Amino acid sequence: MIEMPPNPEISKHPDDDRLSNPAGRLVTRFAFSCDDKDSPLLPAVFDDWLKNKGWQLRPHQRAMLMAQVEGQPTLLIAPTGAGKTLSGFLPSLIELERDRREGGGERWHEQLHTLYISPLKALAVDIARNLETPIAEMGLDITVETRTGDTPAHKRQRQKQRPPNFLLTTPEQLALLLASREAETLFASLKTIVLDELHALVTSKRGELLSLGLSRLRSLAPDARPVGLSATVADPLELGHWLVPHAEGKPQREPQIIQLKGGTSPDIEVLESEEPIPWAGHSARYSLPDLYVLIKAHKTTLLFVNTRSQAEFLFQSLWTINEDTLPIALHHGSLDVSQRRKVEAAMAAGSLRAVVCTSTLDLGIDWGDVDLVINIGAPKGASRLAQRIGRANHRLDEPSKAILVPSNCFELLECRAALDANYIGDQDTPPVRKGGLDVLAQHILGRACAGPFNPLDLYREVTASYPYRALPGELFEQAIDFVATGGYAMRAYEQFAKLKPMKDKETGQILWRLSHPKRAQQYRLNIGTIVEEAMIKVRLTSWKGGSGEQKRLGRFGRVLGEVEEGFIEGLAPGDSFLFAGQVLRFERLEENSALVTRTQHREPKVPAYNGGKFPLSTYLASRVRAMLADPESWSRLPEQVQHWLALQKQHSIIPSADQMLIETFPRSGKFYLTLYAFEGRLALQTLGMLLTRRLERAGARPLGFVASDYALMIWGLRDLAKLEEELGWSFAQLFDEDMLGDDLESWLAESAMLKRTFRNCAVISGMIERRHPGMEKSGRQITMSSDLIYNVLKDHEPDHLLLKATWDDAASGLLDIARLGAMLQRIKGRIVHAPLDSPSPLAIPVLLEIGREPIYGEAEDEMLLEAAEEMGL
Amino acid sequence: MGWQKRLQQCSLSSSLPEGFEERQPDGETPTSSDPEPASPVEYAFSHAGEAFVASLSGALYWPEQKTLLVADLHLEKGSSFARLGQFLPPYDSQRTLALLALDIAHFKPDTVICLGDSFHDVDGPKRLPTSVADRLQALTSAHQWIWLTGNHDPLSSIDLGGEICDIRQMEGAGRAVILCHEPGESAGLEVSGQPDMPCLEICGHLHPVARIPGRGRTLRRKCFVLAKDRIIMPAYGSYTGGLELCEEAFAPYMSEDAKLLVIGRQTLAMHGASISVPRSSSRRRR
Repeated sequence: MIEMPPNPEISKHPDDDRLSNPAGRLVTRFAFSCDDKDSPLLPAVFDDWLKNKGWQLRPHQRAMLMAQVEGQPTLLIAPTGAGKTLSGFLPSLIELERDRREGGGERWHEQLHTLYISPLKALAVDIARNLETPIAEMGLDITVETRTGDTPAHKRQRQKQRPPNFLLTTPEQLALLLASREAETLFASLKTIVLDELHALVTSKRGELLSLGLSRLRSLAPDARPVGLSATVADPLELGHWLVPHAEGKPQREPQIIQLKGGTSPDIEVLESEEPIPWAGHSARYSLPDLYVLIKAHKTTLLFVNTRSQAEFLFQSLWTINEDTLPIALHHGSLDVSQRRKVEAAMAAGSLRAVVCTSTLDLGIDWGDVDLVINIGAPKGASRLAQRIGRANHRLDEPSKAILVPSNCFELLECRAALDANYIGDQDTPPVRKGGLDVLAQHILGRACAGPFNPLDLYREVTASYPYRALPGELFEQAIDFVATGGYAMRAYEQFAKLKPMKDKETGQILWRLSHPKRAQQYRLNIGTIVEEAMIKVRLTSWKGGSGEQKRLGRFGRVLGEVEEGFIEGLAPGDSFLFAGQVLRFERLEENSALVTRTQHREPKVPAYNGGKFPLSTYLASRVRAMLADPESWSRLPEQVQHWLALQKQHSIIPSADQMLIETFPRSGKFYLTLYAFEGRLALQTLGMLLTRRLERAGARPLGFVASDYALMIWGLRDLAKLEEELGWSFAQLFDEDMLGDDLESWLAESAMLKRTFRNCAVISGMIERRHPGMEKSGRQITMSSDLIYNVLKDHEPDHLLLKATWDDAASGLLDIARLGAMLQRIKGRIVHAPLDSPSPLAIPVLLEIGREPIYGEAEDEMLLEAAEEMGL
Repeated sequence: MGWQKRLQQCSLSSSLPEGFEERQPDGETPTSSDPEPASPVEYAFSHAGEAFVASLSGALYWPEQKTLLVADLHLEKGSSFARLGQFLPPYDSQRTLALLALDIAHFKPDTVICLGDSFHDVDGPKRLPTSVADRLQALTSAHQWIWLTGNHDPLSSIDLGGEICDIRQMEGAGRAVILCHEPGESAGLEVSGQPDMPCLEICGHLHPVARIPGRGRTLRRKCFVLAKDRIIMPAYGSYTGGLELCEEAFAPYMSEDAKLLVIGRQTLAMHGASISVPRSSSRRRR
């Protein structure tokens, strides 16, 4: 592994140069300086170009060139702003130029040389734009094109026949290309595969799909060299191994890892507001005046929020106080593509003062002169925060400036902890998971779409990828059987098989082939691993013609974007809500569109809050606990929060860092138990499920619970403070690790969470299709039928491949079982109990979450009866 | 009676169809996973002067006539999807019939009437696995069995026993009872007997599902719709989906005094029709 010091020569580049140069952003990312020792690596045209600019190669860029000469799989790990992406392209630019100069350039005419994969469409588009300038300035004969879901069909078709030298695309598009009959010829010439933002991709199912695609590429183009580009991660070697082929579970080569340390420390603060921080809630409404002042004082500000609805709320609120009508824009994944592109273009042109955005802008897009990043809400993870902050001054040589805006007291503790974490550069990226069987099934079908395959070859190929390196042959066979006929013990669907065996004429071996070209069409329609809740288009329309009976609602209008079906279901006709930065009136649902009209109301009637998507990282959690336990450190907190904690100390207990506090108190005829575990929403939800089961068994008659990132609150009909004396259950027994055994099994077997996980797996694996040629299947139907299917499968074939896939997913991701296990271990013998008469200061924010968050409990049928009684039936 | 006691008394297995999962972000209600079904939970009521017993499975028993009614079995829906390349577990017909056999064993009817859409498509009967077909044959030969035709299955030629007809008229206690597939099919029908009394129509087709709000969530549950002079039955089959009561299709039948008999996991509960919210206000009922 090569470790690089921060480049001492960085300060050579004057700002003026950047500003006067239309490609300023790009040039700074190259950050060359004159140095003759680069000449052997650089063809003259590059050398001259650099000399003209007065720049030279940075050490890590030189290392990247060396790695290319040696043909090694390479991983470049560098903090944001080090010019990672273009370091990845430089070797390809040089190689193509050198070939041309030596007379071999002709063969690169309409041949694919470098494939670039990014997790975001927008990133691919941005990179393509950035590449154009040096290519034009040096007069290089290199073609660059993007290929995304937005690329017109005729262009995609042409790209398969006559590809550009550099093709910039996404993992899904790569899967589609690999599943085409042209794949073999298209990729034969491939020399370099650049995988951008690799740290973000590998921990998801998209990463699993990409790893299988990479393995396939290695078979099609044995000379192609993968180059991974990543932000700082917890385990660089693991990420390096992700790039290289495996056999029998072991890496077959060692990757070259170039790690660039350091950069300047970002300049981060927690917002200090005159206004008090609320104890609960997520709107950060109190901070609005401060935010506006900050926006006014900076050139361009990015405001990151965690959910789309928060983005809408903040954007709307800012405009209500935008007296100077500053250009403030909104950017989130649900907005229509054309709207997003408009914002992106305005951003690149430097004509915006602020953009309110969600994680769609998290990744490496370089947006010109952002000089301030504001993070609203809790950052949830130190690495995520570092990524976002890196958006400001996307350069290694200047500190990024960022302000954290907590929306409640608990978040303030978290912000403080995250801030400390960022200073010391701690990393909390999760490890790479075992590859999912659902993704494998999708890949197998894709492989068959490209042509008949030998199962042994495919098995070798699949197990050459890092996430699937330990895949047992038996499971692989089951996966093929699953794709072919559903993999059921009752061989009911042989006549409808998607894959059929055939004999290879030359070798006599058995090959699998697609049974019908229609199946390839189905595959193409259903590709991908992101299963979202069904989305509904929001269509802006208006009332037409006359009044009264004559009035009718126009059915055609501009699509503003898409929202989750569940959100629209929560609206009644006439309700107003925020979307695309406007207050809209919901009129009615029509097929897949929600028809809306403009309204004069300034305050939307339906507040929308979706809990944070990202659970608090383990690492931040431990920091929050430590901070809470150490009253000395409170002095760094705002006075009002200090007061909150002081009250807690007075009223209840402040647990030490290794303790877990449990409080019990009665309230309006019910008994509450709150535990402060700071283990993230997922782990605490799982704990809530398991605890209510146990309490049920103990006869404590629990009624429901609510879980946040920080705490879990359970309530019921019996006093949980007297659990031991009345029911003979001590807290130690209640929290014993054995709850992860039978209780977990029996809960999971019936769990709705598992059913949802199953639905995702069923969709990704192709058992349920999102789309069928000629048929639009609505998400609503999918939800119902996938649950029915789950029940049937569980009863009849409990060992079915999809149930295995579901369990793997749930255990590792959704339920955070590992984390819960670690927590139960940690708190053993360290539970402190405070019996109280009323809720403590820490409990109040949790109490306020009830009613805002879904409540879980066993009492579903009771609810039906209750409702009936209410109606006097 | 407390609900928990009630539950203990009617310990019913979860292998019965569970209707639909509520759509809410997280959370779960566990039920027992005992695969051996016990006796069905039932709910006795009268509607339009006729006494009925509804079963948790979605069947309706008419004691007076010793007749069991089921609607929308959608047999072989799984294989219907398989033809298009979606391989759902191929056990739906077998489960539906097992459930029906339980209902039959419990109520011991003389007559069984399937209110249409008994097969998901026209070719369904041909695809029925032999073992399942044999089981069905045994059921149809042991009872007076009537298949009403539905929109999915004209059932022109069915070789599984029983008789086929479009509409069936029976005599109730006070009025004629018309059994048919789609609501409204009895309109304009020449009714023998009491020409002044409106007849009671019992039908299926719409797959009614209620949305019940409460405690910060919404449950989606199959239900019987007890409307004026009409009962709309829930869909019985293992893979049948549902249509929410707020949908346009129900509008003509949802009078003010309509009631819903909602099928819970382990109980049935009677509600006024207004309990079911249009997909909408549930979230604001806090």
